[in-house]
Amino acid sequence: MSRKRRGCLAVVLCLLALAPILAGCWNKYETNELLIPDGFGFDWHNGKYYAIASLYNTRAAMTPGGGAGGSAGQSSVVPETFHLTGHGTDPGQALTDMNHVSTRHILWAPSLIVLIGQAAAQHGIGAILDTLTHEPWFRPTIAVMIVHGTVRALLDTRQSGPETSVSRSLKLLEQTTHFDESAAWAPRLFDVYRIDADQGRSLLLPAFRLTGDAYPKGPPFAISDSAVLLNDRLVAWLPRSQVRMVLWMTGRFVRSTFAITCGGGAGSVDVDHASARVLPVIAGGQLKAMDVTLTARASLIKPCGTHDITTLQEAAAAAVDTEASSTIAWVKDHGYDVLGFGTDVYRASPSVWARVGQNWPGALATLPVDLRVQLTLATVGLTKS
Amino acid sequence: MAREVPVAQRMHSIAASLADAHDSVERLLYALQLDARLTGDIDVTQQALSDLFGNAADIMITTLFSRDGVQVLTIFNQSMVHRDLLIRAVFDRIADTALGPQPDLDELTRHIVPTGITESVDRFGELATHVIEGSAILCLPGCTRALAIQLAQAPQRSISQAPSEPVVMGPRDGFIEDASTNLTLVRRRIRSPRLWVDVFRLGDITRTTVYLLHLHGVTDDELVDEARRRISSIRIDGVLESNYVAELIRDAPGSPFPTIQRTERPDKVAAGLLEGQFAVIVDGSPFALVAPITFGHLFKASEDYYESWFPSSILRGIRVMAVVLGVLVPSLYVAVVTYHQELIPTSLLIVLAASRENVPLPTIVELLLILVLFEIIREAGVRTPSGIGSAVTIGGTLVVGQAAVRAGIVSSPIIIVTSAVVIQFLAAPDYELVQVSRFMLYPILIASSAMGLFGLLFASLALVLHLTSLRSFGVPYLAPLAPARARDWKDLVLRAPWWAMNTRPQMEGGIDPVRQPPNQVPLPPAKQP
Repeated sequence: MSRKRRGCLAVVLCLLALAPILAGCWNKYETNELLIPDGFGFDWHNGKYYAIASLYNTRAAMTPGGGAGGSAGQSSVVPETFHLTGHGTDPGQALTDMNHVSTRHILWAPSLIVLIGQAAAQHGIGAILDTLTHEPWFRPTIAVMIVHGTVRALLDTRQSGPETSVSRSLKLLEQTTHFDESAAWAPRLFDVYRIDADQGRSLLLPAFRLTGDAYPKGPPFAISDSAVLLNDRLVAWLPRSQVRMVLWMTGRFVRSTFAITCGGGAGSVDVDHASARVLPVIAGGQLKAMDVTLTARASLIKPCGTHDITTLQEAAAAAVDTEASSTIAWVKDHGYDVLGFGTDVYRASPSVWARVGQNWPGALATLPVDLRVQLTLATVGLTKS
Repeated sequence: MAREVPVAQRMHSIAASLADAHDSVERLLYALQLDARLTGDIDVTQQALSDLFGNAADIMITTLFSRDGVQVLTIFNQSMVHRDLLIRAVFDRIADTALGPQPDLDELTRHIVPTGITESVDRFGELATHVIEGSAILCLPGCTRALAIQLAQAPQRSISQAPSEPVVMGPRDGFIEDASTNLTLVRRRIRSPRLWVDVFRLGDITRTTVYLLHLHGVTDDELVDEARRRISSIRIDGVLESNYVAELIRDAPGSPFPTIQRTERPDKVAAGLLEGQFAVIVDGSPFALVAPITFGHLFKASEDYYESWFPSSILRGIRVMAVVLGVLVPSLYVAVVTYHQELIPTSLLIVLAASRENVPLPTIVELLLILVLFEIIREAGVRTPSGIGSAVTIGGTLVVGQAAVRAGIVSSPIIIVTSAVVIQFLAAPDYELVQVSRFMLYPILIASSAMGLFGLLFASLALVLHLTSLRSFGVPYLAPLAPARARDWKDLVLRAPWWAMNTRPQMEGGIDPVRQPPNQVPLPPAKQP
């Protein structure tokens, strides 16, 4: 063998010897050395963060071959999930503390949702999310949700309806009911940072609350409303009555029915399309007002006291106008820009935003909002008119 | 001072040397005897032949007399000759013929010729070869030549289905151990004088007949010359099976991947010849050799061409997928389960974790244990007489499948993975590919267990690089993928319809690339104006 070939062979052998080290061979874990989280979250109590995780007990899990994973018969006495808790002055310390409690390696990767307790959210979610972002085993696609009360109480329910996982139940609840109950779909970790970068905008997160209902009626928790966060702190709860118009005005239309009154009778229309145009009115370098135009298309379901189309259209537009005005009033009263008006102002004129943005909640409270509703009755159904 | 060697030891050494010398002299004498010419003396010839064959029980050396009393020495192998023909056409004719005072071999030939093919021999070595091959030898007094009459009737089994390459649709005949019969089976398919056959005798002792077949005007002459050169240069004492020849003429002899295809099917050989390959038939082996081949050839089954192109293409794709998965699935399982658990859906991960609770062995050890156990069971199944084969299967299934899981030595997913591997390999149409693939998975498995998906990637890349480096009689092993020959992709994974198979494969297609004229797509008749 020539010297050159020997040299090549030596290099290849060195690389081969290094390969296992470079490939991270020490990260090897057998599946029975893992703890798989069902749900996890953070609470805040007495000046400390508490990390709490509900973990599957794989010894009690049923295997396809029959019986529990550990040994047959244990499933009746061993709970399917158990909790691990850690605490610390910051979320990272709490996580580390929890990891140290465990004899097994916690595999965080399957975590779909991070729950944040009410107190922790009021204290600020920034530290929690920053911690998760910097931990390599958390996905940036993890969804963020707020819990009325404590996460511990929610995870303690352990009853999640037909789903075997608390996380899965939360996720499905959020997917199926957030349009009805909450103005916010559960933003992923990266969404939170994106929304946080919007000028003046208040973050909305779905909020869960224990219902007290027991299985088999359904899981003992449900989406109750939306948490409003300003500067990463929980500041208010957006009531369900404002959900529909927040969705419409932020470009997430949801089909819905409105009750209308006209001619002394009661009727209803079904709105199957709507869009919103929000424009700041700026004159002389000053923000004068917000011009909001809602355009909707509806079908008549039940006519009220008249069969006159124009009257019916006006009645339907008035119903939408009333609800939209109420939502705008809530936003102005509280000063939390959940509609993203600040972002619209910034996009229209950064220089104007530079002035008004310094005291945006105050400016929002006095800002005139010119609301126009244009509703068209596209079909009148079987009214024969 | 040199140490004095004891006398007894020296005597022993001298005796050993003398024994060696004696053996050498005997071998030399035997060689001289083989090379010696016939003397014409019947008694001397008879004695010499007895010595040559060591008074073998199946070699008959007997004396006949013609009608006029001339002595005729007859030698034949009683287990190889056609006895009826020998008696009726040789013995009876000699007894009825007057050979005269000066018997002549030509005179004898004239009387015997109608019975078969004859040849004149004049050396003891040639004479012995003819006897072994089933000829009857006649020696006349005073003649320095003998007459070899071909009356061979060697025992052979009848033509039956090729057990290693069964088909549902297509011809059922397979090669047998007789080279002449095998040659006939190929000739029956290619009735053309362009099918040229070279004959070789390989093996200093066995003198095995080897046929080299090629289609003149289709197969590249340089390729045939190279094959002739390689076969001619074989020096070996015996050739008992075609693999002897394959190993001695193949490219990349150190590689586990076959660079010469072995097949039991005459239709496969004929198809290869039509594509410009050459074939080698070895007497005593039901497996013919076909070369040059590419890796893609190992995935092609004869049936692909006997069924419609559509299912054939899909099935061939499934076959490729099965073999690739068979090699990669165990490694993928180990890599994902031990390093990349985040890739597994949570519900499945819980099931996997639960199944491994209480299992004391690491995943890689579990898998190796079961795979090796399975290899042992399979090997035992092959070697076991058919009567107790089922007992081995049941025992193996019970031990591996049930007891091991119940005892908690292995987890049930491991059994599923192993079963998947076994079934996937059974989909491969080429037995040698199955054998290689079975053992290729182990290095990849070890690399995966050490480095996870990186190991899987490294080992797979090394395997592909190795495949890329292989050649079969000058044809790149991964052709027509590497080097890319788009024209030949019509018969790679997808099998184009026959009306689109206008050209032979470019790499091994020889000197006549055109297989058939174009525009043979069946169309409805043109409308009359």
